[in-house]
Amino acid sequence: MSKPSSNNSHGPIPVKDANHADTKSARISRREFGLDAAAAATAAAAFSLSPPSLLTRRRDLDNISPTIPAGEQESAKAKLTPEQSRDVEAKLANIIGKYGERLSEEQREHLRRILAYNETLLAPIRAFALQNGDPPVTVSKLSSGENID
Amino acid sequence: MLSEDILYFSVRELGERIRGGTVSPVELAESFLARSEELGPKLNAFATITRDLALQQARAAEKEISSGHYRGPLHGVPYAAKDLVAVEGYPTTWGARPLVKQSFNYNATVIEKLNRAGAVLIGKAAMIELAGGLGYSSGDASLTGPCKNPWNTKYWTCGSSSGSGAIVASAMAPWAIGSDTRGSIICPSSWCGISGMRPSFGRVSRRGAMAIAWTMDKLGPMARTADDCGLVLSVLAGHDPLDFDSLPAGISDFTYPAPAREPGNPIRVGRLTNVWNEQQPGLEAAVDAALKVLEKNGATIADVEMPDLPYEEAAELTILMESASAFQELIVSGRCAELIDPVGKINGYASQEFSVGDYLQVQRVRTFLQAQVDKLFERFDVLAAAGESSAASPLSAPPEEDSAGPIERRAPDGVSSLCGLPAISVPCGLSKEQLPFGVQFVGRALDDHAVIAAARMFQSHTEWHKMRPPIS
Repeated sequence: MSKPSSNNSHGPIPVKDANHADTKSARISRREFGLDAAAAATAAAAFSLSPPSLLTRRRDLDNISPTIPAGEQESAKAKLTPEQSRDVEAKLANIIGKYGERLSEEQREHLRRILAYNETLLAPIRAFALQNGDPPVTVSKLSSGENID
Repeated sequence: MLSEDILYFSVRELGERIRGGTVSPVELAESFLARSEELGPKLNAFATITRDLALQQARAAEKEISSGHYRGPLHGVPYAAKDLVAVEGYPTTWGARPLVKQSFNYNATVIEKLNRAGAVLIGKAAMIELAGGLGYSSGDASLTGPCKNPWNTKYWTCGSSSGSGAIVASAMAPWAIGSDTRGSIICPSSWCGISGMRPSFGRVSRRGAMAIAWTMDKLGPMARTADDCGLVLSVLAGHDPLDFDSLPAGISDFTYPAPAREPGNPIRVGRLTNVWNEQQPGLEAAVDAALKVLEKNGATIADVEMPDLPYEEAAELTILMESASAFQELIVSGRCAELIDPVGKINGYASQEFSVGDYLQVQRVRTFLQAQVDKLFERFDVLAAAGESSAASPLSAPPEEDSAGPIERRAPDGVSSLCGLPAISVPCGLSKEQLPFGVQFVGRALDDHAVIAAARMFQSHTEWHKMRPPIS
C-alpha cells in the first residue's frame, strides 16, 4: 500500500537530487528544467498521439471507459508511433494468449482500442524528465504490528 | 408521518430538534423509511433498505436521549451508506452482479463510528458497479439499474455515488456516505444539487470499504449543506490502525467548527480559468455569480491557472493500474464477464498489461504534480471552479465511447483526487433545463476547514442549497 506524501500539506515537496549536493538555485533550475521538458513532451504527445478524436471525453467517472469510436480506430492507430503500435499488438497478443477463449472478435477489437488509448495516457508520463533520486509518492511504511487485523 | 418540510431539514436542524425533544427519532426513521420505500424504487436509489436495523437503532436512540444520554449531533439522525461499505448482517454488493450475494461479518470502521454516535442507518445506497473500478460507459452499469436524477428522472445522477446523490436530493435521508476515487462524490453532488465533500486523503478510514485504488480512495459525506458536511466529517474522521493509509492521530482528527478566522484575514479564492475544455452555457456565469457573493462578503478573488501537466493521465493510470490488482480475482477468474458494462467486462485484461516500471514512473511523476499544485496554495486558501463541466446528462445519452472529445487533463477532480486534496461541491444555480449547477472549492491537503469555510460563507448568503427537486 502507499500514500501521497504528507509533506505537501504545508509546502512544496523538497526536490531530492541524485547526488544531494546541488545548491538551492541549481535545484530550482533543474526542477524547472524538468518540468519544462515534461510540458514540452506533453504538448508533443498531445499533438502526435492524442487528437480529440482519439480520446474519450472526460466527464464524471471514477474510471471512465477508455474507448475510441470504432469508426476512428484506423486513424487512432495511425497516430501511434511505430513503437507504441508494436506495444499495443504485443500486449493484445499476450491477453489473447492468456484469455483468448473468453473473448469475442468484437471484444478483441475493443481491447485494441483500449490498449491504444492507454498508450496515449502513458506517453506524457514516460516522457517526464526525472532524476535518479526522484522518489515515487508510494512509501514503505514501518509497522509495529498495530496494522495487523 | 412527518411533513416533507421536516424531511428536508439539515442534519444540524434535525439533531437540534431531536435533542430538544420536538422530533422523535423513531417517527423520523419511520418517515424517511416510508419515503425511501416509495421513492427509492422509482429512482433506483437503494441497493438495500435496512428497515429492521433502522427502527432498532432509532428506538435505542429515543430511549437513550429521553433518559438523558445524548451522544451528539448525529444521535437519532438517519443516513444511508454507499453499498461498498460493509454492514454486518446485510449484503454489500459493490453494485456488481458477480458479487450480489457478498456480505461481511463485520462493520466498516465508519459504520462503527456512526453506531457509536447513535446514527440510524436506513439503507445501502445504489452505486455504479465496482464504483467504476474496471471502467464503465454509462449509468446503466449498476446492479440496481440506472439511478435517476430527482430533478428530472430522464437524467442521470452521475456516478459512482449515484444512489447517495439521489437519496439526499430527494430527502430519503438527510445525508449519505459516498466514496470518491476520482470525482465520485463531487460529480453526483453537483448534478443532484446537494453539498458533497471529499476529505483529504487519509482523514477517513476506508477499512471495510471496497478498494479501487489504495492511493486515491476516500470516503466522505454527501448532505444538504456544507455545515452538515463538517458536522458529519467530525464524526467520521480519525486515525484507524486498520487502514494502512490512515493519517496519524492528531492529524486525522477533524474538529468542527474550526476556530473563527481572524478579522482582516479574508478567504483567498483562486478562480481556476483553464480547467475545463468546454462548459455548458450558463454554468460559467453561475460560478462567477457565486464567487461575487464571496467577494461581496469579504473574500478576495483572483484568477489562476492550473499547471498544464499530465494530472488526468496520472490519475487515470493510477486507477487503472491499482484496480487491476484490487480486482485481480474477478479478472483472472473471468467473473468480470458478469459485469454489465462492456468496458468493465474486459478493461481489467488491458490494465494487467501495464508494467511495474510504468507504475513507478507514474508515482514518481505524481510527486512533482503534487508539489506543483501545492504551490498554488501559497497564494490561495481555496481554488474554485464549476463542480462539473455541465449539469446532468440524459439517461438516454449515448455511451461514452460515442462521445469522443479532448481529455480534460486539468479537470479539478483529476488533480485534487490524484493529489489527495479536500474538495466540496455545493449548488449554485440551475440550467435552462432546471437541473442543478455546482461550484466546487478545492483546498490544500489537510486544510479541509478551508473548503467548508468557503462553501459555508456562500450558503450563508444564498438559498440554492434550499432548492427542492420536483419529486414527491
